[in-house]
Amino acid sequence: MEVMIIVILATLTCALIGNFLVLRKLSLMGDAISHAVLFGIVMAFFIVGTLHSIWFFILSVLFAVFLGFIVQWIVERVSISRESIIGVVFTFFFALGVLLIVQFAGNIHLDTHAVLFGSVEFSVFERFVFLSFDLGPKSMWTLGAVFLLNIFLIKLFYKELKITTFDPNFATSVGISPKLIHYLVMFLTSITVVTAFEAVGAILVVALLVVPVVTSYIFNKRLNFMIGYSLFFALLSSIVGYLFSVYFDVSVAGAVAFISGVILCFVVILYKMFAYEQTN
Amino acid sequence: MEFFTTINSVYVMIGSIALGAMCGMLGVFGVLRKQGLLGDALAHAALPGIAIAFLIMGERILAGLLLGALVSGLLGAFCIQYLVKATKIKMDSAMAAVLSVFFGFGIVLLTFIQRLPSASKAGLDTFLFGQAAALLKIDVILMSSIFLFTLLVVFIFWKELKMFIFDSSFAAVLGFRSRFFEILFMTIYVLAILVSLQAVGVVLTAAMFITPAAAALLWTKRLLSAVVLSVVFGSISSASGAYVSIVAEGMPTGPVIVMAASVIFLFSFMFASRGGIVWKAIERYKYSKKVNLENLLAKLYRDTESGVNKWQRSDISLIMLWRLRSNGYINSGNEITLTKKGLVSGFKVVQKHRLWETYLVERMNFSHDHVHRDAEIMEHLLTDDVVEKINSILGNPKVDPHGKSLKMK
Repeated sequence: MEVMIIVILATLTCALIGNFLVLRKLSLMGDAISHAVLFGIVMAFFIVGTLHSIWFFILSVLFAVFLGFIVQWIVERVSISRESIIGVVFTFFFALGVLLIVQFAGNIHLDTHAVLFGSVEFSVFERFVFLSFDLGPKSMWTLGAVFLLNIFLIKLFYKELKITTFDPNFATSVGISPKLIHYLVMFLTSITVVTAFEAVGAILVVALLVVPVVTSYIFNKRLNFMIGYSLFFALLSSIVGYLFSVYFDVSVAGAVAFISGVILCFVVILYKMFAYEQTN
Repeated sequence: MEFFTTINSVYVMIGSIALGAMCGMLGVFGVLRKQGLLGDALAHAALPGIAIAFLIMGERILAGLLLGALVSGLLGAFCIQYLVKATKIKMDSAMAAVLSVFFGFGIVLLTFIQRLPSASKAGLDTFLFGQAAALLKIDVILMSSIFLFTLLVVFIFWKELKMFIFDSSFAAVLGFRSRFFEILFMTIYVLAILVSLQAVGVVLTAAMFITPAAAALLWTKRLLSAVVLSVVFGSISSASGAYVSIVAEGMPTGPVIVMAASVIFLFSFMFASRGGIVWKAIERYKYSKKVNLENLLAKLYRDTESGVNKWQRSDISLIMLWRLRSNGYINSGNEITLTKKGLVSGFKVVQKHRLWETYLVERMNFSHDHVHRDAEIMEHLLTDDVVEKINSILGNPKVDPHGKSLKMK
């Protein structure tokens, strides 16, 4: 049950910020951050010495934000498309992270498999204990907190986000800085990816950031409906995916990603049929 | 060279170089089509195929696994194309969606396989992180033949691929079978990915296709030279990665190759002939040096106009004194005076400034109090030819709009 709550919280958090990533053509940024942050995690581990402290978390988030800056910085200086630069930067940091683990950290508990595929099954063993009361898994609390932070900031800057996403020139002319909002999105993405991927792994994070959102994007024209439906699809894939994984005894993260893809498939087919009827 | 004594090392070396060259070649096309991460997406999409092939065969036969990977990679490529064509989903989202869903499905299958009592799952993991050091003769022959095949395809269809990349709508107008080329392109891409999966693994395959190509494109804009350069970069990084992983025990090949490629990229980013940031910084520095010197000369000339023609050494900073003297603009001594050359140079800057102000006011109807800032920039940019031309357009004016002289004192 706790596993399911963690999965649901992760899917909702990712889908919420995912809407802005998809609309801003930054979908692959989630992929990049979730891989490159491996280097951040290793460095944070060297500095802090443990995987279970708030400083470790803060350093990882800072690194992810820094990554967004690097990509932006390079993109502004060369005439190569953004997504290629993302590819160069994230593979560099991932490779560096792997090499550091191989060279210096053979004995630390940094399992590259767990990093990539997630081990939500084990995340429930990490408990949040307050005054010797067991308040449930730690990831549940961190994810919950990040989810609330996302809701709060997105609600607060909803108008700005909307304008800068659809018409950056107009935004500049009414005094909203598209650059500032871009960094707000990158910050929220970073904190979401770092939190969620600790619990559910890099691949599921990418799936959750993008798949429910594009499913909803296919048939929605209005931003608030799009966000609403994406949250619905996220919820649906996490519940069905979880049950699927329990039934067949397979990886939870993989199952949720797979089910979200199946839902996307259904929606595309339904949409095509419906669109076909409309044209006749 | 102790290194080449084992025959296996030779295989690993040849295989890696073929791989680097092939990915470097195809990568340029991918990066130019703004689909650099296509390699990443298709590498992930190949995973379920490998798992299903394993489930069907029940053991690890390389050819079978590669066939499975080929089918599922092509299916992934098809899904990406379909999502982009049939819905309003953009390319990057389609790639991210296919990548994660296929890979998620692959992980589901892998965890399923791990629980099978009979199956020896050994070997499937190498596809995730790659293992060039384990390449066998047969792998290398396969790699090299795939490399030669893609080389042949690119060679035969060079002109068509070029058109396809740079202007697909123009190509369509010419009755060019763009669907055919889309499929051809995807197929050789997926073939290259299969080879790369074995050597560097799923995650880092992206770098094989992007990093050398991106580095090459920093040096040149011509397609042919970019492809050649990218092949060279790819081969060098693969060779050094293979070398390190053979010599240093336990170093994974993939990450080392990626590090080597990244170093090449970083070097190109700083020093490339077009747009290397170091050259840009040097240019900026040179320009600001020129501007400072010219501003000082202009000031000295204006002083001369108002009757001052001697200055104290303490009025001017040491570095500027040195620059003025080394250019022969001033006579050294206790008091500083302008040489003839210095006077002329100072006048030229001032003339450009005032002439530009005159031009803006007379010909472009600017108000005379709105032209100073613009002239402040242009005084460093105008050439003597342009000055002459403006002078003749304006009919050799004697004074500027502020009543200051345009003739040398």
